[in-house]
Amino acid sequence: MKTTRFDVFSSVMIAVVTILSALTAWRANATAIQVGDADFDGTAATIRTQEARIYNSILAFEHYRAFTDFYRYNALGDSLFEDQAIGPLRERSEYWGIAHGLQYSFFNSLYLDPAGDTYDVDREIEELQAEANLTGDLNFQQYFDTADAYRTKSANMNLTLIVFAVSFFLFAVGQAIRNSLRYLFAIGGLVALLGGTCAFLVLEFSI
Amino acid sequence: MSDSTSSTEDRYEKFVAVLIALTSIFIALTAYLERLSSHRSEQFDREAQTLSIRSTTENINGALRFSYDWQGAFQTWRELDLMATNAEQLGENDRAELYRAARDELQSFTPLLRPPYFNAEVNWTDPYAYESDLYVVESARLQEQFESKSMVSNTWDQIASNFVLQITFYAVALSLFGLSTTIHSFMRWIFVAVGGLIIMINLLWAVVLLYTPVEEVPAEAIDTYAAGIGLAYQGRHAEAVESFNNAIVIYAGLPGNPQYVNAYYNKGVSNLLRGEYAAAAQDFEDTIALGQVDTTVLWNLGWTYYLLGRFDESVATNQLALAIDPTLVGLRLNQGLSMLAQGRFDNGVEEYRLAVGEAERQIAEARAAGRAIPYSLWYFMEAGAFDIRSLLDQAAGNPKAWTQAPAPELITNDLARLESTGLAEIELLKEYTVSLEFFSTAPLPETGRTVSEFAFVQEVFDENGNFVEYSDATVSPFGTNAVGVWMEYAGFRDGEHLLWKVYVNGYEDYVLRAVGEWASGESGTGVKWFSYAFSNVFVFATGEYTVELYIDSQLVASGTFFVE
Repeated sequence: MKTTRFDVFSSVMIAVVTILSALTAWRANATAIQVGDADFDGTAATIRTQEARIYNSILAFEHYRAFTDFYRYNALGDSLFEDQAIGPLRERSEYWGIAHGLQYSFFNSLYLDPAGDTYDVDREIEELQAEANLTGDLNFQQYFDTADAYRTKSANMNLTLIVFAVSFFLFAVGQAIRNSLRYLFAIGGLVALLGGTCAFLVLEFSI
Repeated sequence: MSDSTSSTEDRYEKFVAVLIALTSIFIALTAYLERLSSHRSEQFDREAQTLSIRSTTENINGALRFSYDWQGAFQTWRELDLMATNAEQLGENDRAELYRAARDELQSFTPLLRPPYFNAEVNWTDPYAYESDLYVVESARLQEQFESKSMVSNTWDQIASNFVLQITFYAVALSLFGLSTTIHSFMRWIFVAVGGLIIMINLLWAVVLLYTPVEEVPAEAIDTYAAGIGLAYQGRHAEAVESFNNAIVIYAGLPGNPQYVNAYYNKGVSNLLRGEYAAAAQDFEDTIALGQVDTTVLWNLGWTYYLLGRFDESVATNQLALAIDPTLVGLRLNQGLSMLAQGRFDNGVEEYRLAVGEAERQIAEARAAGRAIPYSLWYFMEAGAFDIRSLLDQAAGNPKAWTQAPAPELITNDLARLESTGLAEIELLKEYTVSLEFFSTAPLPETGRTVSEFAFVQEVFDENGNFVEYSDATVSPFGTNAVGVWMEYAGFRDGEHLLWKVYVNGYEDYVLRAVGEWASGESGTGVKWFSYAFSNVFVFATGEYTVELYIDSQLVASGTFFVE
């Protein structure tokens, strides 16, 4: 059987489709690797966030515990002051002295209310966490969003492979038949090829 | 080759080329589906990891917060409360009031000191309810979400693996199509047919995979389950069972009638703890039937069978668990107990020997490796003795409020042998517990010590405050703050290891434990005092107090007094 120009054209197109398919598969795979990297970064940021939360809680509750002792000694001193008859001066000054010493060294007076009766531990934790957010890389969601975007890109590239496979099929059918319908198949193959190529280029340069 | 043959071959080759091209579409489609499945698997896996981390953080932060609430705020509250009580006892009412005022100010420090957790009538708080609200429920919820997401991730991963396998089969089909062009006989049609069949099977398989149900445990079921965990944590087991049941129903409502295994298991535990043994056994059996076969479930089921008097099933279930992990000392003790209860005394004794031998081995191994010994080992040895005591009390028709044992009519009729064997095993376990704890060896040999029966006494003074005599304190009124144990002894040696243990209502009170060296000579009489008289705040609570004396790990005497 003689090889026609149409046969040559179809063969060349099939070769082009095959090369583009291989290129797309490579890029889809490379994108999938980026997904893993972004997920890893996101998980690492999650761990850092939770580590900061735990560390800040430990710190704040250490302070709150010291404040509770501060309160206790103050209250005992106050009790002796109220009950002058049974409250020796030495004990009283000792209690108040200890309370004052605790306040200096073991908790942050910034979170004391003016009367010295309550300590805003929740505010301290929130402010410590806000500080950690400011200074550390704790925004895990941005990494997960990036990973998801790469996932979509990788899946869509795989979708493009289906378009190339359809193009390949249409060229093959066009080559197999001997009537004028083969031009229709070839045009279909060409359209699928161009569509797939455009989709690939758009995806490749999307992110 | 003639022209017509060449033309036929050409047509055949073009036909195969079309088949190959068609197959490539299926391959591309399958690769796309594989990628989607993999992505879903990865996303669920990532969410599961995040939830696991969050659950851990929730637990740690909750425990941290509770640590402050309990040992910071509540402990301070308690100290001021005790100071107020002391002041009141000394007649310093004004000072007591000042302390109470300072104490009450602490309410603003923690919810633990406020309703609904703090009960002003009994002047105490409910830490379990608080912990449950603070983090137990939330942590359980996150943990369940983690398990659910992991399960879904695994399912998607399996689906993706199936698609990969399909691609391999497509490659086989392509190979068959290609090979068929090299054959010029009827055989080539067989190659084409087999290739075509593979493709058809793959397509049907893909449809099945696409319709595979991949369902997460619904949020409502998880929330209900987590609420059950919180209720169980508070000891509200009847309500917990209801929650677990609801979670099971919600989950089973999904397509495919999935079963909530964790809910079944925890329902079993709650039923066991509220004494609904038949229901508990059914729940554990369901858990196992649903695929969760581990030593914990088997242990609980074996114990439940024992309490139901289904001793053969208990022994068989324990045996299954011991086959999985033969180092479980507590389970081995349960095995011995079930055998004693059904009258298989020799077998039971053998199991107890194996249990203490295993404990001895583990302790020697840990000590040799410089590792600490898990406290559960002491707990299980103590619990083993406690369980035998419960069995004997039940069989003798003398159950205590804390007794947990099968119904008396289900226990062996040979009560005499049960008692003699049981008491010997109790002594063995108790002595092993002490010797392993203090000396890391088997109990030291008996050296002929003798001790009279304990007499529980209180001192009687005359009007001048001089000691007159001892009075009997075997049964003392509430308000008693000191009880003495009088005994006559012989065969003792100074420097021997001495241990006093006190069990309150069947459980050892470590506060009353006394450890030291014997220093009272070879023989004589003496009184050991258990006293709260050092303060004016505490007295003995009502209950049964069993005092045991160990010398060099030998249980040399014991006796019981009561505070009513």
